[in-house]
Amino acid sequence: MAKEITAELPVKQNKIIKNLTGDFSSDKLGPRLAALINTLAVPILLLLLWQILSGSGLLLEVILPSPLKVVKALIKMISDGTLAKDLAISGKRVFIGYLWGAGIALILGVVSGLNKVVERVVSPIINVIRQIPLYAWMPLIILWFGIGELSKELIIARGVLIPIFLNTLQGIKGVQVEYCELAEVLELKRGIFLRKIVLPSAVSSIFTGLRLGAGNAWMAVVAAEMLGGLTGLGYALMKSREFLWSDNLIALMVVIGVIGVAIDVILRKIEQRSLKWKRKTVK
Amino acid sequence: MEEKDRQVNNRYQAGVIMSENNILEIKNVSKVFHTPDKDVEAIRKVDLNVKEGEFISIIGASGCGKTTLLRLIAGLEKNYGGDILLDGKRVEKAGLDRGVIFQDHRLLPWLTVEDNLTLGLEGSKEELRELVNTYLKKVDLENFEKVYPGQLSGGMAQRVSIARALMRHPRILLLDEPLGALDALTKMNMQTEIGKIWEEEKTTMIMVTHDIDEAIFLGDKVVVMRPRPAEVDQVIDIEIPRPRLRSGEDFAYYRNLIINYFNHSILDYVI
Repeated sequence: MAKEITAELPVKQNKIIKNLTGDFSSDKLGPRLAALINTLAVPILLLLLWQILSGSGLLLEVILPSPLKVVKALIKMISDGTLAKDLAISGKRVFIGYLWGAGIALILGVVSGLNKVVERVVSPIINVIRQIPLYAWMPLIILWFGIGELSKELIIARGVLIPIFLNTLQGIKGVQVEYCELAEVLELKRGIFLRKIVLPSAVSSIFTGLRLGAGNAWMAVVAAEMLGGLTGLGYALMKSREFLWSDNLIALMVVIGVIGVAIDVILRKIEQRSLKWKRKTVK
Repeated sequence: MEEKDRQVNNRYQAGVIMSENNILEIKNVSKVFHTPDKDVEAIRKVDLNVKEGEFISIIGASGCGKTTLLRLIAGLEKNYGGDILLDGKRVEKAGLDRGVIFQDHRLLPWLTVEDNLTLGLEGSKEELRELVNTYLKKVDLENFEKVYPGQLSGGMAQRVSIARALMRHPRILLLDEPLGALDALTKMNMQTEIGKIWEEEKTTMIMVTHDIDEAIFLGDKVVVMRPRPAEVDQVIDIEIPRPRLRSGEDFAYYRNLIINYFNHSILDYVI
């Protein structure tokens, strides 16, 4: 009797935990399928609502085109090559701006993390730059550098700079005291200490910065292109608004969102690859 | 009581002045930690001498300052009063002549066992690989060189950290509660293993512990410390032939001696 009770207990406990945590994945569905439904339920509902609203005739089509029309606009964009052209132009700007911003941020972050004197100089300056929103920088940058490529790349670089700098600095400074003691005991040379202890322990934090920076870069390019110039995704958005091509406009927004997610996924994969030891750690 | 203590200390000090092969001499060492609101005296006037090849166990209640003493010897704590002389030279900073085994294994999780072992070492690939193999064999971890620390159990990881220290041929190995985080069975195995390594390598070892059995099992001498601030209270020579048995009568004798000592003497200071 007593045995039976103890045998039942874990099952009961699991049920209670399931109820408490709201994990409704039943045993019949595969857990992955359940997770997928979990994730997709709300987006699908929103799509349905969108379809119903746009089909009801309550709203003008120019305000809210049907999902189908948006898909058609997307297909047209792809087939006539305008999307590819805009993407290539915006992508190139992001790439160059990101390289500059990330490069400067990484160097400043690492050096400031290692050297208190440099940190005291750099940190307050970055902090002030940070407090002025990216969009407040744009007019000045355009005034100085015009609406050409340089100013767009600068705006992107500025958007990338802050998160990468801050996370790199934090990562470098966050080296565990225990590992510093180890370096003392093993009489590690400074170069080896940096390469084998400081940088690896900062990798996670640096990648967080790189990912945040990439998100910022993608947002900054759209903003920069909306303000000036006649090319790129941001300009395409503005043009769609001016001509009341709302289907085009929404299709572009979807593209921007999807690409933003794709960049994040790719960076995550690179991060995981560089943290091979973490996957091998037994929990 | 105090009179007796002084006699014990005097006798011990007299003994060491005469011996010549001291590898480590701790003379009148004190350490005060300065905090914003007050100064904390961690160690007061500790004298201790260690002969070449000796195994010294330092035992005391948690937080009694014994770890601070070990960290001073390691050179990880600076600015102390008195002298710690290693081969006659005052200890000012950490260095390869002292190996340190911390309570946590302190292997770098992002490096393989092999890369952890050879961290900072110079030599050709073949030399280093051979060195790694030799020392992994010593700690019974052959073929583990490509494994990451996260894949090892606590005992295995601690064995790697012992190999890492021994590979650098330290004059003296400092063990700071090395087995404190392990379960009882692993702990016993590791005690045997450390004893074996000590006999094979003939490295001088100082181990800080709060485990009486461990202190007796491994030590040539057991140094009993009085807490707050840490002072040497008793130095007991353990005259049990090796290999030692934890179940032997002589073992029980020393165990009782130390337990009684803690019961009657140390508690006076704690309470």
